[in-house]
Amino acid sequence: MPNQSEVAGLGDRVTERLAALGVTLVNVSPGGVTSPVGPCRDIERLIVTSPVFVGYCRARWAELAEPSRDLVELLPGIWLAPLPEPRRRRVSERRDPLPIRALLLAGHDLLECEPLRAICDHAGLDHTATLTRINPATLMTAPEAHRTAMLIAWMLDDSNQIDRRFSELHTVSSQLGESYEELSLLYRLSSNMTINQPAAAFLTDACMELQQVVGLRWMALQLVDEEPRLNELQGQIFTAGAIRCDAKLLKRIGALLMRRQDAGAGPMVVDDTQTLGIPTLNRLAGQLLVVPLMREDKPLGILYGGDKIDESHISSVDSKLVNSLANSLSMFLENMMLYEDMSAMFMGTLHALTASIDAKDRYTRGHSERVAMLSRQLAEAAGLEPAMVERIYLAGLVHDVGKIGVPERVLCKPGRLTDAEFEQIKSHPEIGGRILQDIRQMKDLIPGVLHHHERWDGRGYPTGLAGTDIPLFGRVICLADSFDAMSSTRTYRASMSHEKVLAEVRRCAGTQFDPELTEVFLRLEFGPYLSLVEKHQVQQTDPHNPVALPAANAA
Amino acid sequence: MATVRKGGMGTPGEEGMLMDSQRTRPLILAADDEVHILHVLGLKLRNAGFDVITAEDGEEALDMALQHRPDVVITDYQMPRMSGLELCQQLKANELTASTPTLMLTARGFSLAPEDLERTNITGVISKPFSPREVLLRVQELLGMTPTQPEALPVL
Repeated sequence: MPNQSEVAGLGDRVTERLAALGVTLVNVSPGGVTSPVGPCRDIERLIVTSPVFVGYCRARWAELAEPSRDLVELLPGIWLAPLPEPRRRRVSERRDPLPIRALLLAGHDLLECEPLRAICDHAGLDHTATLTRINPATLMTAPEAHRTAMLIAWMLDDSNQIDRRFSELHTVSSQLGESYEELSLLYRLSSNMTINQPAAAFLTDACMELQQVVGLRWMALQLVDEEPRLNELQGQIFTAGAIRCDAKLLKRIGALLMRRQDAGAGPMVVDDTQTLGIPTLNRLAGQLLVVPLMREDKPLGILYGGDKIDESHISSVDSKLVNSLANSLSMFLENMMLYEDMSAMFMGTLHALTASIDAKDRYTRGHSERVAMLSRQLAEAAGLEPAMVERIYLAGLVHDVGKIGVPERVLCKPGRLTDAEFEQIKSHPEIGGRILQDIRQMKDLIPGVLHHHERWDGRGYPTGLAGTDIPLFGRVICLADSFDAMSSTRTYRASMSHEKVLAEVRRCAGTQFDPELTEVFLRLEFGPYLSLVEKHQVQQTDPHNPVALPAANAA
Repeated sequence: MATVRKGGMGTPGEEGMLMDSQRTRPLILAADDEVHILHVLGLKLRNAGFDVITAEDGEEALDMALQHRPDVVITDYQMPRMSGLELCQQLKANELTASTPTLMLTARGFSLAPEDLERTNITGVISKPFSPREVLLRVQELLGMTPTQPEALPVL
């Protein structure tokens, strides 16, 4: 049975209006029992609660309950106008007739109404005195009653509609609010989802935002242990919210959850963590949301979080949101791994290429890598941008690539070169420049390759540029290259001692080398360089490792 | 007679008078010509225990602000008749509302120049589509209240 307010279905506004119109709303039960709804004047209350009136109602119940009936004159001057029910009853409830709502309207005939005398007598009231309390201005004619009943029925109908729309509006607004929340979350995360951003910081943010938007007490993002391409993110765990255990235990729980996820499984809401049989998990959460991060059926990790802050159920909307984010995160991780693949491949290829050039001459083995490292060190110490420092490293790596076009018998010739042979050697920067010019990603390295044999005083080759006209890459690599050449044994001479080399570099500042860069160079820490030399010497003397390639990830 | 409907689901701006002295809860004025925004804001703020009155343009918002003296004003930038920026400047210029803090909602990618923010009490600019949660946090922050949602804590 619907409760009182549902039967009434009226706001304060409507009852106020009815009272102002002098119209009373009543509930009429099948037994004829009538009771006023909302405010009611004494005279109406007297009438509707009277057993006399109840008798009349019971007698004419069939007429009142007839759906098409609009006005029933129950007594002279008293009409009841049954109102349509605001909502359809369920079929099962139709068997028992329910009370109806009706408007009670008073007409002029009420003043002459004989039954009113009986009602007054029954209530022990004086009939004449009661009549004087009726305000004749509120009494209607039959057509007026008819129109009033119609208008009020319409008004109630509209008012019901408005109430329904309000509750719809309420629902839609709250859904819209949630959509805004999700949209702004996805926007924030996708704008942070760049390769340049430190991945760990991004994943921590994502985890925290998600925990707050979904309203979970805590949330964790755990990555798989066995995915080397994730680099340092491998096996990492990121958390947000209050978790009542240490990260190590949480990681073990995460690993167990991951194992439970079948390949290709989607998000899962666990209503009772006890059922999972994972020890101590029930201390962390009653309900659990588990969403796998998958890429092409391969697990990358999982997102999991426990219990809503407002203690509501974790819903399918929650799991959908987390899942859509999980997809983005998987994509982010995959991009990261592809990027990692690509740069490992690029660096590997580059190292292989330069190592094969160096290998043409056993005395220059490891030379390119050492020049690259020294150039990077020098660029860094000179205060260049990190991005440029990395480019200088690459330029150092490929600076001698042109030697591929110089015959081996010239490159490896012991003793003095003829002028013609020397000209051949001197062509290697330009050959190198030509080799690289068609590789779009290496175009910016060309100045380093082309100009690493220029001299500050302009007496270098191939262009004879002088001073700061020589591109910076060229000046940096020139220092590193000359330093390494002097430090190692060459076909034409033995190596010089470290101190002697440094003295030589100092002597050539302003003639061969950029004087400012030379200052920086002389202050470099040569420990890393010397250990690299040592490493290359070991490789050189290892008979089982004739073409020792430096590790691809040495960058 | 106007009735006070506290926290009810009224249409925007339908709530009656709420003078300072009668107030038991902080009053927020939200102004936006997009009614759905008002509904989203209204719902979030009312659920968090605020009273909310709404206006659909800058002029209406100014009238309501002067009449009801809200604790915080949240306004859209782009509105008919009077822009959100002008509204904020007028609020600051009027001694009744000179110290009322305001939050501005703007289209994403739109930024206000510092000289625009002068002569206003705009303490925060939030891009649309905004996070209702963030708006609530900002309002609570402005009123020196503790946020309803706990901040994230590190793993113990």
